[in-house]
Amino acid sequence: MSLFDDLPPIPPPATKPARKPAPPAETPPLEAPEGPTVHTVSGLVAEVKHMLATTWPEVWVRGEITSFKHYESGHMYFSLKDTGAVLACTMFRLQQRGLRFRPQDGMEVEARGELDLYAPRGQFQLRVLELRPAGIGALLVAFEEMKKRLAAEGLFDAARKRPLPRYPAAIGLVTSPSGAAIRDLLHVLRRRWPGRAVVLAPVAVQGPGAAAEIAAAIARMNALGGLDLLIVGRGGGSLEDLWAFNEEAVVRAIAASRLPVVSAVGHEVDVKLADLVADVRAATPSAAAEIVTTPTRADVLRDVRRLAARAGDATALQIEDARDRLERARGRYGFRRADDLVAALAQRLDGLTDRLARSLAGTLRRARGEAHGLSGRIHPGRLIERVSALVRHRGVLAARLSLACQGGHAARRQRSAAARARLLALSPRAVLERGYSLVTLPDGAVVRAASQLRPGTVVALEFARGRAGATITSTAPSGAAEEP
Amino acid sequence: MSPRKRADAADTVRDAAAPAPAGPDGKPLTFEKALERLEAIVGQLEDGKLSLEQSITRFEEGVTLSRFLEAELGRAERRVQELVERAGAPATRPWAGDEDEDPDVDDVLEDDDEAL
Repeated sequence: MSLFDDLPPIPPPATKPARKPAPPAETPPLEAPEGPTVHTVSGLVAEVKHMLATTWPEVWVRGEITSFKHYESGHMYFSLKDTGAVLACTMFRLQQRGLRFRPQDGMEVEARGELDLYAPRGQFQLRVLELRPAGIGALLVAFEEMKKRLAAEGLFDAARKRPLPRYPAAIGLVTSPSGAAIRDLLHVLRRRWPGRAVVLAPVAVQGPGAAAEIAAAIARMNALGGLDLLIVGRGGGSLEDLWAFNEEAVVRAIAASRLPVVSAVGHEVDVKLADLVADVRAATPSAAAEIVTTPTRADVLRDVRRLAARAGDATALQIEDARDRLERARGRYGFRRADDLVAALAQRLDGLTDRLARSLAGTLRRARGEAHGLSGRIHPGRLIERVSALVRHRGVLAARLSLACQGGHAARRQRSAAARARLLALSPRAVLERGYSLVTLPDGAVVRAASQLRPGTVVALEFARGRAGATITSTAPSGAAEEP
Repeated sequence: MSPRKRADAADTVRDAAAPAPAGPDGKPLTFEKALERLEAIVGQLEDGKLSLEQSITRFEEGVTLSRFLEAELGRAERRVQELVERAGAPATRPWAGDEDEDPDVDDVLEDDDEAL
């Protein structure tokens, strides 16, 4: 309804549907032909009420609270007064949601509301829609101006926000050394990450100078070094209590902080400028402590142990796998072939040894045959020489073989030792070892028959070890067994 | 503020417990880097693409890292430090207001230790 509407000649019923309708005008104003217009009370009150509503749809008024009553219904009744006047006020529960302080007598306030005339009592009053401490209006205007300015500088930009270190070793707290905030912070930090270093910068968080103290503490925390992040905040409170966290000095200190900052201001829904400029905003100090201890120490410990166990398992698996591969490789042809090769060489050695032994036996037989015909041509020393040459040859073969086999087996060595023993058994020396002796004439001929001797013949006797000279005393020719 | 003083101040905040294993750049690893390294090692080991020698070397490194991490996590409770001004530079000292510790904090620690 516009202010410029003409007033209707007859008061209408209630102009505000929300309010109690004006009592119906039961009788029109009495027309006294000779006198002034006479109104009914209801009609007059309704008309004034209408006039108030249309003339001042909404007003701001400043005054001191007096006679404050807070009814159980939740509604508030009080008066605003100044030196010259009193204004009755009502403030219904619904309007109190935005109230950020507890009104009390003597408090200077500014009220926004609608003027009303309470018909049943004929009382002129203000229905208060908003109430704030006096002077806060100017503050808010300045605040909004500053907020716009800082926002224009980009201080609140999301791009400026830095991630918090996931595992801060040391945390700085900028808050009051007394009160719920520090208790909550320490309690949650200790519960979720015991042993984490905490440095507290004790500051006043409200009252004059608080903002400067907070800003200076943030700067000093940054200069201290060794810290990984800061929590800046305080417990809940009224708008004025929290005001320091809206001040430019604090906002700029947070913006300038090298360390990431978590803001933790109160239990209020209102967002402070400190919240806007901080890298992370927590609703309460406890919430801030939880944010910086996520994951908790117990979670991380569990992760570390799981990782260590997985590393152990994976390595054990790898070793097992290597062992399997080794076993498989051993079973493969290439490896078996090496074994075969050794076996083949051993066999060849045996064959050679046999052939060697046989050839030696043949040589001996031949030598023996020659000895019959050409007695004296065969010198035992030469025979021994040949044998040892053969043995040497065999040794060379054996050495080559063993080289080829690369570290021959003990069994093979044993076999070759046996072969050598067999070989040596055929040596005439071995025969001498058995107790026989070799009788030779001075010309070196071997004595095979008594007929080669006469009494007085000087002979040489060769034993396995040593020689002796002897003279024949008698001879006796053997009978039928005379050799050709 | 001289760099030396800064280092002193830092020492009062973060005294070293177990020496941190060195990273690829030779500098001691931070907790976070050590944890990342351990995760990478486990990933490599589980990939199974390493030689046996590499696996065992990595495994040993993983064991060193996990010991360091556990030692870091198991550090004893330290008192809260208070930021003060000393000779015009920020410094710390034990905070006197830290006496009223929560009684259940010790219980939590014991529970943790049992899990160790």
